Amino acid sequence: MRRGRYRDGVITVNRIARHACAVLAAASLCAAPALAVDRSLGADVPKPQPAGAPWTDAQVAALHTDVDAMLREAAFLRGAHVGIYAIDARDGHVLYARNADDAFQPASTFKTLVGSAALRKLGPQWRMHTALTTTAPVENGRLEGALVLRGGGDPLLRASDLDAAAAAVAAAGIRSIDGPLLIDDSRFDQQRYGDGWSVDDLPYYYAPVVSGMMLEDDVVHLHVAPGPAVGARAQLAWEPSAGADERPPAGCPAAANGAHLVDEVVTGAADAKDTVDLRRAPCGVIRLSGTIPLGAKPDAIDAAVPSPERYVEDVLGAALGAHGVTLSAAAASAFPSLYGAATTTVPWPGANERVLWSHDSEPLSDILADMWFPSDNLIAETLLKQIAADDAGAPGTDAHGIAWELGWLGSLGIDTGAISIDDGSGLSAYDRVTPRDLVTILTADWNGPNRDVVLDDLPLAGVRGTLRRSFIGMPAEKHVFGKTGSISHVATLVGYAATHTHGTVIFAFQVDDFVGSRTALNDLRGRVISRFVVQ
Amino acid sequence: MCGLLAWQGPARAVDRTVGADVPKPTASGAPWTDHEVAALGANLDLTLMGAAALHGAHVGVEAVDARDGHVLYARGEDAAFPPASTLKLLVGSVALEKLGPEFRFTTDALADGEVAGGVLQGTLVLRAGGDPFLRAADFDDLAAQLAAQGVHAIRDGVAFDLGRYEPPGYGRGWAWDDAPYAFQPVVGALAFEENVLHLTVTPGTLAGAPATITSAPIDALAAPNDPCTFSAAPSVVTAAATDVAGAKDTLDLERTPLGCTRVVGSIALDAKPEALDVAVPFPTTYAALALREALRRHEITVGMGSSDAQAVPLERAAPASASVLWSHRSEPLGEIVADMWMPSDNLVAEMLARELGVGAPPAQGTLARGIATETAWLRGLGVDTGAIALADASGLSPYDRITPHDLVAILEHDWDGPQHDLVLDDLPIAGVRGTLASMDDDDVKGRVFAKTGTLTHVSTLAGYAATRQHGTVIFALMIDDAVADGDALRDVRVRFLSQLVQS
Repeated sequence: MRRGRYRDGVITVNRIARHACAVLAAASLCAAPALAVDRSLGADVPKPQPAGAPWTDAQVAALHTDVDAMLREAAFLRGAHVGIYAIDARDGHVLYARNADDAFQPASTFKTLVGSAALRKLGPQWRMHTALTTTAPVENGRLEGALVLRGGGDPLLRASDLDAAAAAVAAAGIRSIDGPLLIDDSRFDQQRYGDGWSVDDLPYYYAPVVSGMMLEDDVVHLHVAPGPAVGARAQLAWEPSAGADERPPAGCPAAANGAHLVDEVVTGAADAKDTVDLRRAPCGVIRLSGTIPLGAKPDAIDAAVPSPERYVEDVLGAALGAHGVTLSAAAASAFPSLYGAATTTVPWPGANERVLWSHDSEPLSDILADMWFPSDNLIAETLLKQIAADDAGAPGTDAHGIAWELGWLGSLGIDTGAISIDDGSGLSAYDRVTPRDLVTILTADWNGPNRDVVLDDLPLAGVRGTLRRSFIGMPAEKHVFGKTGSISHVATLVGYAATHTHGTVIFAFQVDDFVGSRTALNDLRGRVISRFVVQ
Repeated sequence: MCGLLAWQGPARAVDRTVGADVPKPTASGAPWTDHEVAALGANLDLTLMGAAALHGAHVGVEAVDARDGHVLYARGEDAAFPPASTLKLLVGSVALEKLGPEFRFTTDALADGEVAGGVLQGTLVLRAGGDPFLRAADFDDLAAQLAAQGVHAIRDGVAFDLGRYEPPGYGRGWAWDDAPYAFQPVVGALAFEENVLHLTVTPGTLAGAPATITSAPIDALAAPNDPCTFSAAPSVVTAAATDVAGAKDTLDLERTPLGCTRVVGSIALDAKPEALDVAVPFPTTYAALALREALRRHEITVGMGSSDAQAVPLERAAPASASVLWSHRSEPLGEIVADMWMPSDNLVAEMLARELGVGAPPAQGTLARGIATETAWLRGLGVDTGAIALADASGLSPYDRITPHDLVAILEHDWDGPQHDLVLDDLPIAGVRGTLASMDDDDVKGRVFAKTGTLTHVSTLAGYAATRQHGTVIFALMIDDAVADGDALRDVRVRFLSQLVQS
């Protein structure tokens, strides 16, 4: 934290993720964003290739004339700042450049940096490791001491994993636990959010808390259904289930339930507007308010939890109970508030520490798709700290992760004094990088050993990820493997475009200070990139 | 009769007598020749294109002759930029025009209940009226007047009517990591001590010892090992140390999720006591604690009522029947605008925007309505309001966007309007006062009256420059995406202004 620093913070895309849930009770039908990643999509689409005819000077000149004209005629851009850089993947020959060395807010195109850096530092087969352990003896089914959950900084850990952990405890013959239940989040430091993130974003799924111990993307999945009549209280369900909270946290409304939710949503007329929204009360409780129309499909809303450690503790406690394992009163929450982070770390490995259950995440080569397809901010922040923890040992810090990235970028020839890295996801309004720098990162991936991994893990125009609805019916459809970025006034896109006859073009298309129509801008991007593709 | 002296608050940062002797920019001077305009353009091109500090940065400029709006220099003048604090020119200009320079904010203390036998049989309700500068001394005055009226007890405690504006909160897009700093206060109808707590940090008696911290106007110091559980009352935990003599001052503030403030870093053994202001998370509780203390100092017993110090205090509307026991009027708006522009005060800007949104009762002053008022006003100036974005009034939001041409349009309007002199009196002056006081380079000192703006990667400046030969130039310089350090950007601003002034 820098003292008295005046700075910005952001994001306005999808204030709330609303997925229509078919059946309220069957909550599992309402998938969390990260689970939506289907890697089989686009497997049949040919990847961009290096092979092709070289570009002639006349072709490049004609391309220039056409793209310039498209931008000139795009009156909706008005006062926007536009930067474009595009090169031939084979030799770096510049095909088009406009403000290529201006610094822009990268928004989520910044995730290409942390993903590529992680591939370089950790390797595609790297996995995160979570374990449930104890050093205490078991006597007659009674664990005479603490159960320790060793967080591995894995944002993809699911409630079903903790259920398996609880089953393993039961299978080990344990029927009761003296406690306490210790949550070890020491893999990472205690910086919970990226620098400059906006306060108004913090209740939402896209600005979750980063911790060494995470669960379900650090969101609770809420399902709000209209009541039976206008004016009736809406019906609230949530998953995963958590144990009933015996002790209301300090300063919290008494109505808070086991998931630390306060539901104030009412049923409106059938033609009323859906205004369901959430905010966080000062004590950490999530408050849902607004109106849901009578007869409407339920809203699925993911709410960021203020303390993932406390969340894990609640959910694991409930899972243990479901498997017939009782926690003694002394094993009750170690966290005095809903913002609690683990304050003590348990030396690893402890004397006589026994592993009751352990879990490896999928490999990094798959995690990158989980990050890049939906543009997952939590995974991006996690990887920044994982790079740091791998390089310098736990706890992994943002500052060390950023320093490692800067060192790597310097080795690629990037002027690191001319850029600014403030988080891993691009959510920070302080991040700045040039179109040329982003193309340099993509070029390093293209020329490196992980080209196929990167192409498999990026959104694909018209097919998958955040590009699934982009450029449909244009030549760019199924020809652009790229990463999008979108925050207030910022719309960015970087990636690989497969041309018809000249192999692959690596490009960055950055727009900032934009106040016009996003539909029009997306159409312009499609036309500009298609102009490359048809060549 | 007071056991304790009321804390009188810090010396006001804004001293309007400073710069009163500086000649104001005038319209008189030789007309610009085409040759002179071309020469200025060449010089400014060199200044802006050649600056290493602007490598990779996005730059927009417009400079016009104040007499006739003739464009002297333009580059990216229609591009949208985050204005940072130059956006305060907008809310100040609109407020001066819509409310008038003599407008004052009124704060009333009302008796919600009968006063009988020196006892208020109910609650003392302070009705906040949008005064950004209510001070501890004002609460002392309130308590003294109540005592003079014979009141010696308030049965049900104190409460606050915040209904003039929308409920307290932040501007859109304000950052979580700025929460403890005085420049990002919580905004509502009530502003007590600008919603900041004043700390004084003193080095300990030897290196390695904890620093000593005191707070005013109320004691908010928690024990160093305080677990910082949730509390609406301001709470400051000392985690700062004393460093060796001559060491660099690294004092800083951190806000915990539950609202405690930690003072971290270190202060040198031989350092003078340092003043640090902390934005309080719950200004109403803060004011309630201070008001109760003021009343007690004047030997007025305050019942616990429903505004217990440790609970969120009762915020409620004062009934129409309540009688006014005390009333306080702010200084006039003409001076409040100086209080905003000179130090670049975000709280004043946000409160003025809410005041602009106050409609016929019971319509509350909301930021959205204030911005609508601003937008309509800009449309009247000919600004293309579909091409700009207003998310707050202070410019602290990263979502604000406006063009250099628009800022010049605002300044031209002020120059040609009835508030001409007042606006010049209220702006910082290069080398003389406000945020431009340190720009004391000979070329520009006393010749530039302007509003500054600074955010991470953003540096802006808009105002009036008194040229040597051609009267006044109205200008806006907007820089975004500048990764260079602040000193280098400052040099660019000085060179830019020198070129204008030398003309």
